[in-house]
Amino acid sequence: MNTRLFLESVLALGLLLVASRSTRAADAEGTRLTAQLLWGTNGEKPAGQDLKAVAKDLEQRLRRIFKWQKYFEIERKDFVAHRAKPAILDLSKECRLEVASLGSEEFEIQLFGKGVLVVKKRQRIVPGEAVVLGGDDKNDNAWFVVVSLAKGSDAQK
Amino acid sequence: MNDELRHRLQAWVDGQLDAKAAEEIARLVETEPEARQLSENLRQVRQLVRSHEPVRRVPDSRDFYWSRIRQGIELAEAQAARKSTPAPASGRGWTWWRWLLPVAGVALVVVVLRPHAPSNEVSPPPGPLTVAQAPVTSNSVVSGHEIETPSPELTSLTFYSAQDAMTVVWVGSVDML
Repeated sequence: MNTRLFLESVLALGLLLVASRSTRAADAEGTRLTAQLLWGTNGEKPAGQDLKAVAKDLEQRLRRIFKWQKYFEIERKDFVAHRAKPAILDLSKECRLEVASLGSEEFEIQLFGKGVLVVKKRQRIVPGEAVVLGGDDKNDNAWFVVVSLAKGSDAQK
Repeated sequence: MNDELRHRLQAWVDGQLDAKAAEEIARLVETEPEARQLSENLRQVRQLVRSHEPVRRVPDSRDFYWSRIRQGIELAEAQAARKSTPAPASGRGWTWWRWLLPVAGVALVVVVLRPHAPSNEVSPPPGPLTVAQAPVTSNSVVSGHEIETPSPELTSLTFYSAQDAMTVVWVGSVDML
């Protein structure tokens, strides 16, 4: 047997296995993200509803983009997006979000309203950036779904 | 006359004896009639054979004929040498391994060093934005990131704010709350 050739083959296969295992391990762990369902308004906060204040920096960013001045958090969920299986979140009775990892910090986001697919978007999300899906609500208000990386999360671990 | 003597006599006729033995046989031939007769017979047979030997002619020239023989010998020796050297362990299997090594190396480099996907290349609009921007069709591709709004009643509007590090997709009036 050609010993040198055999050893080279074993080494190459071993390196391939290590690389694929680390990739699979990273996929298996997934990416931690945060999804928020927000309500935007120029009026007052509705009484009797459990609405939390939005973080100041996020509110400032939304104000710069949209016409609404006040934003309230209706629901917030931390989740892990995997490549093999999308994360499914029910942010409200009507709103469902599905997020799947595509690898390389890229994600596929699907938003369902009353069970109907409203929008499907592929987007790269890096630390500090966010994807905002939004639409009109009653009385000239608006809803927003904000997806971003969870604090302390690298894109892939 | 015994067989030993006949053989020596034949060797004497062919000139294959040393001087001393030849002298003995010569004396014997002179003195012994049987020995003389036998030597005469042997000389006649030798002459007949030489004079009537058929001439065999080869179809090729001498040089060409011998060069072909030499080539045949060299070929046989080369084949014998190949058979005697040890072959690789799995023959065709090792050839397959030799192809796998460079492919495995390239695959490893691609997996480890693959570049990240490019970021969203939507050019940011200047300054703060209102929601109304140029409408897009329900299936629009924005800088390589496909966006779909499967519902025919909906159109989506997408833009990127570099200042706020946000990609916004506005879908219009949808009951989400």
